[in-house]
Amino acid sequence: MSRGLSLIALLLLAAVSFGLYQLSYEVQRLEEELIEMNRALSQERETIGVLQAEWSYLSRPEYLQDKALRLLGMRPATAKDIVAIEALPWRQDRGPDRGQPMAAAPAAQPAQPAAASAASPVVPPAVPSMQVAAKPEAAPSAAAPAVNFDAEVAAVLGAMQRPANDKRRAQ
Amino acid sequence: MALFRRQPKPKPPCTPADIPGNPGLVRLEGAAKQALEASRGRLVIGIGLFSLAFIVLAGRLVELTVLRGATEPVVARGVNPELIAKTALMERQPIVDRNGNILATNLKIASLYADPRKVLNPVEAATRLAQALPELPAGEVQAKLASGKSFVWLKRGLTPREQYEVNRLGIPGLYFHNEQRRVYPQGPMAVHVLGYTDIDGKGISGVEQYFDEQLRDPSRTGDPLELSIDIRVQHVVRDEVAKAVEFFNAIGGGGIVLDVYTGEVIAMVSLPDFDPAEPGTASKDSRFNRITLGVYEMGSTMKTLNTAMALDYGTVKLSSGYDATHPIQISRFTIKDDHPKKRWLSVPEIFMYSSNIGSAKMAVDVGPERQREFMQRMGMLNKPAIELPEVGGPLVPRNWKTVETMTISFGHGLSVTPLQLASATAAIVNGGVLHPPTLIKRPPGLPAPGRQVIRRDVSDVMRKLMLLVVEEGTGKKAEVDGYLVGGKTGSSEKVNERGGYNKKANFNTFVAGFPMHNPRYIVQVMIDEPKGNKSTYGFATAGWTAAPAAGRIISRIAPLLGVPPVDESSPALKQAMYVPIPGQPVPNFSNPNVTVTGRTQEKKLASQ
Repeated sequence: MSRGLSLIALLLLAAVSFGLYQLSYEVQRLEEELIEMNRALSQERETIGVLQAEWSYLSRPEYLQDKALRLLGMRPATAKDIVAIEALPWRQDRGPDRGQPMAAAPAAQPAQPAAASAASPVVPPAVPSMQVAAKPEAAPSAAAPAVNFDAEVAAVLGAMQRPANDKRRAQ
Repeated sequence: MALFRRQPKPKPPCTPADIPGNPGLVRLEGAAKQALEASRGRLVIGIGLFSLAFIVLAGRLVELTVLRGATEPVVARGVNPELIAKTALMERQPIVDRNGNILATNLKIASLYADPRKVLNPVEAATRLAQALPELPAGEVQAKLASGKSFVWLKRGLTPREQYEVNRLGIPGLYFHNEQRRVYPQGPMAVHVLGYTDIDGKGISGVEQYFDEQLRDPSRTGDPLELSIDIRVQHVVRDEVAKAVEFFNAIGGGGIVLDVYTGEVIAMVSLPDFDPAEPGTASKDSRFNRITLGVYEMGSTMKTLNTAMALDYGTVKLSSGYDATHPIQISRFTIKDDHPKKRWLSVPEIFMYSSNIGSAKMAVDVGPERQREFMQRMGMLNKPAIELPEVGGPLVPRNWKTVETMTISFGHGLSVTPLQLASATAAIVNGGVLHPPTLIKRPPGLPAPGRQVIRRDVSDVMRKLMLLVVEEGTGKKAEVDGYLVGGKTGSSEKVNERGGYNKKANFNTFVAGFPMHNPRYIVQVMIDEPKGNKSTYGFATAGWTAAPAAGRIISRIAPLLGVPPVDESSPALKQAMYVPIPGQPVPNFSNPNVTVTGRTQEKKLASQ
């Protein structure tokens, strides 16, 4: 009986010490792994930092502006280039007035006066232009002096309604 | 236990057990029995102590593995200070703009040095090194490598690519020393806001200095300082102001864009500027922040405050006015209009034509005490509270009597920083709430600190008056297609060395708000000592120099800032922003062609 117990105790002792050594080696290995990972992490962080700085450097507005103006033929966006989504014309084969030119229903939509008059020789369907904040109560018929602007808007909208060959507008 | 019970079992060679009638049991009497019991007792105590120790160990094991399991990943996440010290990327936190674009960051930079004693072939090493680093003089490098010293610097601050190239050569005896360096990828873009650091990475100017401790705090690793600046807007302002400064051959300039509802500074430009990478080579003039450190007599732009003051105190009605026929003589001053109308002028006309006489009379009716109190309320008499070390205090007159009241009404006799004017103007257009300007991004959705300084209805009127200046008055060149821009021009003569005014040296300001029916931003442009040229018919006033720049800035930044354009000729808007001027016919809003708009020649309007 007591011999058996001693044996069990000895076996337990061996098992526990084996386990302890295993554990301690495992911990050592994990610690090394952790250090290695932390090193890799800091290296990655450094790389990210460098890349972020480089990104920031290469996306400098002045640099991009120069490239965009010289190589892409872009120009600063103005109010003319911003049109409210409601003001966009429907395609002629879609929309509420299917097949109907929009200009034929001036009562239904408050068409922008200047655009309508200036546009009429260029494209038949007149469209409501930017009406973001305020809408006119009535639609005055007279032409406003801003012909350039309206002609340009009309030309663009006309181009959008045709099967556009040249999407880019002349400057 | 078994070990301890063993002893009584084996039979002793000769024991009392052999005595008959006493089988197997030993009875000890006397001293022997006592000794045995005492030793048993000691054994029990020993057993108890050991058991206690093991229970403590078991308890500790349970605590560590089961109860405190959640804290285990702490080390892996890098909160361990020892690990941070080893792995921290940045000794100094980065600074980003409101959209997260990096404005300043720390990079690990490698510097190349050599131990010449370990270089095998200096000639070959120098030639090969010249391929990787072409800017190094090969002869000099060769001399260094052949010097036989134990340490020579070859190049400080290599780029990662250069470091890679040098590493690829595999020359023995070359080593890298890693150091941290503050870099500003955007170059001089926002240098007066950012400031710069010294060689040890300590902030010595701008927000780098103001937030130095926070930026160096190691517990905030990787947590960037978010500025209110928008780098795109900053670029546009810098671009346009620089063009204007160059075109008018001015000595400097500046620009501010301010969010009227939060006080956030979206852009702050002071020209000339410099590259923060090399602050040492910058001139004193280019290091000077004209926006927050420079104090100037802001000229007629102060009439915005003056008119708002008179309307707020109720000393004048919008429909009333003052006689501006004759110049005012007071002590040694003569107050006259630059482009005199020589007649009675209504309040809108005084503002629109920038009449000094009318403004002075308006201020006198308010009185010096109340004017002073008003200026105090608008934050014009104290240093502006902005997160920069470079802040100038206003120059306030010691005696504030009627003369000073008159001159301050049109912007002379009180020198303030351009930032103060911008933030006061923001309060005038935004419904009357003065928000302290800030360079730090405010959390969206939270109300910005501020206090009501003028009545709401006065602010509504002021917006219409400022719109009038751009539509009909001195600021016509700031008009922008699609946006309602209102503003005020100001051209003040600068004080010369002798204390008098220099007629040739102007400080031009244009302060504008847009869109005026729903104000969002203040845009203020300053041009320091512009010279008129042919295209401006020789004029060098703000209407010709600063106003067009402000207009161009607005047309470029409004789409960026998401301000929806409107049809500014729409009758509904015209009606909403209409200001009645005595003596002028009321326009027919439903049919604008009937209106007779008094279009005066631009030349005449280019006064202030």
